Amino acid sequence: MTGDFNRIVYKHGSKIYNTVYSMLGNREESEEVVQEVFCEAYKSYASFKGDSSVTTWLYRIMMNVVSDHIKRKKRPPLIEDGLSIEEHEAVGNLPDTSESAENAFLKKQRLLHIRNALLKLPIPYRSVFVFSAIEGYNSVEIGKIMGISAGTVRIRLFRAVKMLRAMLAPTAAFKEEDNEKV
Amino acid sequence: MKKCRFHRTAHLYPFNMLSEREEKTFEVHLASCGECVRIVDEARRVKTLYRARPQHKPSMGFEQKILRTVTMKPDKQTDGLDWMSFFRFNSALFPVAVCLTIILFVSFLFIRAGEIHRKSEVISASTTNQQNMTPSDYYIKWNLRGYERDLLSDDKNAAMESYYKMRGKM
Repeated sequence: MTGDFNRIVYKHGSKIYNTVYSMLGNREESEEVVQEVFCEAYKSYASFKGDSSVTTWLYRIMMNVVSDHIKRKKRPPLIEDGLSIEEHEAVGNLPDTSESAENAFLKKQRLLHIRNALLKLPIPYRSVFVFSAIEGYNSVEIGKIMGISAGTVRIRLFRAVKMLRAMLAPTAAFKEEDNEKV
Repeated sequence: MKKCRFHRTAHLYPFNMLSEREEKTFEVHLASCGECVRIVDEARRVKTLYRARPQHKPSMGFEQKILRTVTMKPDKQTDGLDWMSFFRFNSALFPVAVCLTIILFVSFLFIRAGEIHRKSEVISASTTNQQNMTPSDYYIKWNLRGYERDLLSDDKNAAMESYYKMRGKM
């Protein structure tokens, strides 16, 4: 059992972490939550019958842990005000000319704005959006993960997209998207 | 301005959330609706912005850390009885317990209020008949007041003294 479980951790650890980070926007809290997710998964691994895929099973546990974590904290997660290492890498190590420095600054601002807009959404909308836009799941799969109907998933996604459109449309990040992708 | 009836569908179209039939119907509509074209375009941009974000990776050796925690973590230890776990498994009992507590508290208040009322009636009755009291009545009342103050006393002389003092004032 332990060998199988080790494989699951190595295969899905980073993926789960990326999803949790998209939802919480804080490195330390995300690592704490992912650890909790795998602890819960380890406890219930014996009763996992393989009705759903391992990813769906882990995501379902993850959703419970994230909701519990948010309830327990009774405050919104601390959003890091700087960029993550990966985001810094994405901005790139441009040569130190005034033009490229300005360009890098604008890119940073854009990434921060995009991340913060997502973190402003209520958690049910945020989770549906993350699963759909970032992870690429369809309404039925998201419904299975979150324990809601496909119709509810669609309503939540519609509201999430509407809110994000309202937050991002007036910004430069939205307009530049066509020309340049981060 | 009245919203197009495909307003919601337009938001979901770029996310592959529609059935094949819905998609076909919407695509026919899309050819003739500028508002929906704009929504679809913006929704698609939102999706691309988030898809294009860099993948976040945990710190070095995170997987090993997880495995260490998972295999080392002991089960929750409880000192004595864990009452909350009882309610967690019998969640229907929790409201019943709350109701019972409220009922007990309210009945306690009623009993206490009744007692206070009875005592005050005795005191007020004895005060109205004060002029016609004999020394022994006064002794009883004096003791009653003492009872009220939780100071039971059988010092008859003190009672008689205060009785005569009171008579002298009248």
